[in-house]
Amino acid sequence: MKRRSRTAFPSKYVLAVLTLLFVMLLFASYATGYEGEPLRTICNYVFVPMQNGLEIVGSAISVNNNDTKTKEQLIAENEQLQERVDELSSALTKLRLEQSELETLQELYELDQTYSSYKTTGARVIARGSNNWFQTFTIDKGSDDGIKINMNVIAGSGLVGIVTDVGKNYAVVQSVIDDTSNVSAMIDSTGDHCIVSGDLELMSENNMIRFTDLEDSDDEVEVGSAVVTSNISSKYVPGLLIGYITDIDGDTNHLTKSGRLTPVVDFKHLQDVLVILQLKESGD
Amino acid sequence: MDAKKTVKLIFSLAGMIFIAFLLQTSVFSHLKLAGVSPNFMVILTTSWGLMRGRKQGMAVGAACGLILDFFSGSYLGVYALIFLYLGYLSGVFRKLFFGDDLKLPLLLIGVNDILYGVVIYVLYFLLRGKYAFGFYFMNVIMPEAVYTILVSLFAYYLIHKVNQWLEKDEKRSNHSLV
Repeated sequence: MKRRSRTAFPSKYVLAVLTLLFVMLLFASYATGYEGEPLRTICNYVFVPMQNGLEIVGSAISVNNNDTKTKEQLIAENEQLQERVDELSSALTKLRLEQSELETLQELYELDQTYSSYKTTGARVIARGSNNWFQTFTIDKGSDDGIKINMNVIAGSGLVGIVTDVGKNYAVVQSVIDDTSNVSAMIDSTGDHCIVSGDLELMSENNMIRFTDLEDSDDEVEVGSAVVTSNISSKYVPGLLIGYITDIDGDTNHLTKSGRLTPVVDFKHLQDVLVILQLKESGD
Repeated sequence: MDAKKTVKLIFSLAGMIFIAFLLQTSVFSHLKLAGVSPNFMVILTTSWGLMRGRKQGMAVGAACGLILDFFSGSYLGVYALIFLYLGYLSGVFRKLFFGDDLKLPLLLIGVNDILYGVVIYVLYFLLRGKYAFGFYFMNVIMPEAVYTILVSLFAYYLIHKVNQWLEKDEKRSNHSLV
């Protein structure tokens, strides 16, 4: 096997041309917000349905792991009943899967009641971020279901993140623990404003995120105070719980405080989320 | 004849990219070790560049990168550029490549994954004033590289099989021409 077309195009030129092309694409998407619609359509029809199916298989695998343990114990207890056990436990796996889904949905429903002032739609997480640096994930609803960029996403007991990208039948959500995420927040009890930013370093070490620029001249904010999205945020609807303060430090300027808070949402085991179908009216 | 081969090549590549992407985002996100999942796009781009040279390495890299761009929710072109260069770099080493030797591919996959990690760190973290490179290196870049190399033991074998299958076909049709 010899290289087929050695003389046609030296690969250096191909590299240069493609580099130029992608740099242009980068500037185009930066300057004009161009999102490559024609190619994106392919993604809609090719990747998303498969991801949908695989995610169900994937979560089934993690449930199965727990089940084999129970099976092994049963073998030790009674070998003769092995076949019967297999039969029963496979039935059990299926039931357990269904039940855990039911529980998640019930939780979501309750949550739906607490945040009832916002109209929401449930969605399933079908893929995680494509690398280990950013905490983003893909959900199985998109513009067809009325999802728009900058809609807030909640789950379990609080804020998960914000929609940053929408396709026909999928949407990409940036979670609040993402290193590039900044949320304008306030302390629930005092109404003091602060900025909550995700932090990869803090998150992987202690499961915490950072808050800064807290103006608390009366020293009223203490460990354990609830932090919610603020009413002056341009993207987040007010009053969504983000987490509870774990520690507070005074800044060197003696005017503001910063510290860490623990988010309420279990980001490692996100399966179902709710998207708030209401955009913040920021007037700009 | 030539067109048929090209179509076959393109379909095989598209299939592999498709599978790599799904594995990375939907399957292995459930099988995380030490908080990281392996990078199948790097495995595919590196292996293919190594087996087929710079041009096809670049083609696969660019395609992988563009798909990642679409699903990253950020500006288009960043990953495409990174993977384009990873593919080109792997293609450079094609002269040293022998099919059944595992050392070079695994080493190169590791190096490429670390390179990829460092570039992402510089672009998205260093430029925002996050200077703790040691932390990111030990907690994200290294674990990812190790896991990726581990997984590539199997993935590389499969990619190699696909390559052999395509090459056998190409050889056969070359003979019929002669």
